Amino acid sequence: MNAMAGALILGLETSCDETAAAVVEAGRRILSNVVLSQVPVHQLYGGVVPELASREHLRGVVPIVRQALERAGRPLAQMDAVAVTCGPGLAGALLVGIAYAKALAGAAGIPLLGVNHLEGHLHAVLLEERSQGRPDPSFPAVALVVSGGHTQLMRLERHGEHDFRYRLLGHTRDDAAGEAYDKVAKLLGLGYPGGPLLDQLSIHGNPEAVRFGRIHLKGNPLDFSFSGLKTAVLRHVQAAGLESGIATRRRAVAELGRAPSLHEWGLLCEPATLDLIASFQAAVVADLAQRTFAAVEQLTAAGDPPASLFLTGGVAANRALRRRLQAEADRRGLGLFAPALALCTDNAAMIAAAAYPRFCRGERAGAALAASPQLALDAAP
Amino acid sequence: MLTLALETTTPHGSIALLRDDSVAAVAPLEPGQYATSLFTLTQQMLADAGLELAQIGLFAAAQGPGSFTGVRVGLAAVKGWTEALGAPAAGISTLRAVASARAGARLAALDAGRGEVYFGVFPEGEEGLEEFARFEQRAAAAPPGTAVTPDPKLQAALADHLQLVPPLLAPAVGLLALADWRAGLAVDALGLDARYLGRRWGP
Repeated sequence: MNAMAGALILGLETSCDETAAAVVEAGRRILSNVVLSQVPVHQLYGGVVPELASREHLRGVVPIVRQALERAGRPLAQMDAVAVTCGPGLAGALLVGIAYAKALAGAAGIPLLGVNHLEGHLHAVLLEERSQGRPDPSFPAVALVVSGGHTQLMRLERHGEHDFRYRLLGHTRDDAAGEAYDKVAKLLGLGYPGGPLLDQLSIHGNPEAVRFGRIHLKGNPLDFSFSGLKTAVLRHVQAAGLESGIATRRRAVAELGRAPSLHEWGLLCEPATLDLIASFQAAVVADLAQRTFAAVEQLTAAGDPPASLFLTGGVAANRALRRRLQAEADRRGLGLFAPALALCTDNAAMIAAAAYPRFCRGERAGAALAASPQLALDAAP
Repeated sequence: MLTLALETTTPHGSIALLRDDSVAAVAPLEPGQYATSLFTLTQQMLADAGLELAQIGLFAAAQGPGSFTGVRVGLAAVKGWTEALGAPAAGISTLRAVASARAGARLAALDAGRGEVYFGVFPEGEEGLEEFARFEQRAAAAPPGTAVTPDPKLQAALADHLQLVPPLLAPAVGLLALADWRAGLAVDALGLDARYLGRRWGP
């Protein structure tokens, strides 16, 4: 066993609204995975406020990294490298993590690696399999990365133990799927974040009650667009006269002075709103599934059939989406791989895991590592 | 005692190395590149002095008011260094650094953009008072001879009241940090936070 096989990497993630740190051994064993969520800070605004997120990262980064090292039972001196998300994400938020990681690694005399956040989400899939003692999925793979900030279809190939290559197949032209959930939740007078709440409320409504047309786009059929769906929800609210229910919910939240529980939200939603929620969720899930399998078909037709399917990112926690992709993947005899919740949503274990192959290949980031808010995955850091 | 001081909060950011109370080196940061140049210049400054980062006894950073992102970059760097080395840190008000740049100065002003100013009043022997205000509201508040700014544009606009001090504030940050450290006011990485003055950031 060489020294790299047991390499301990401290991962740090501050690209959006979670301050996260983790220690992962050799890209396969999670020694700690700590996430400080800023949801209570942004809840008041119904979405992430970038300036506030950056402020919270600056306050949270020291205690979160300390906690990750403590839970791992390993001091900083035993780390072999520090890996930090360098993009894509909010510029000011990324900068806090990068400056901290750079200084920490520099002073500890260990290498620093910059990691693409999306590469992290992809490696969360491998990390999940490995940490469960299962073999790696087969390559090439098609991956749907879907979260509050991203909606992308990627093709992954592997050229050796530590050599992964990525190709973007399609991406959202406007809102990310998770963002659409948040915006629809906000316009319906529901809480933030919208995804988990709408997912849970949707089972109480009729998904066929409101017919949203299929989302048509010119150009790349593997691109996404969710802003039109959001507008369609708004139009339905007006046409069906659902405004009074929204006003009632907003008043109830104000009177309650806290976020209602799931049960309370259920009581605050009239049947027509629950139907709308279920129909919205069905439309999003259908669109994500349709384009994901269109990608599979496109590659197959080109003589390059994928050997597995990855589902990752915060929206991968959505139960309806998982069920839908699982059923369709089973029908096609394609293995579907999706991480558990803690590795789907933003976390630093995936950053440490994604850094490991790069670490093994000798990649190092210097003092010049910068935040790249628009960083693309095929242009690796 | 070696002190490494960062000033990343103004448009004329700088770093400085202090040997006890004397300034051994100063370097301006590259405009628009603070997050990278502060690290490359620190490496270079230490190498030129034949020093290692681990020999630094105190890390100092201007903690604002100023550019929100700049404030955080400097503080995050000092947090990282001090956390890894177990060294003490000191966060210094940028306004206090401006006021300390000239003996007898009691008022410091910094351009906050959009016709607004950060003002700091530091009566002798008293705790300072810092605020964010409209430019016009504070224009006459500066008593002649005791008010300073490093911003040429602000000085030109308030020429009767403000005197110009040199723009590179890292040496002043380092000296004030040293004074704080001697007074037992240094903190660790956890205790360091920004000073945000100013308009609301929320939607």
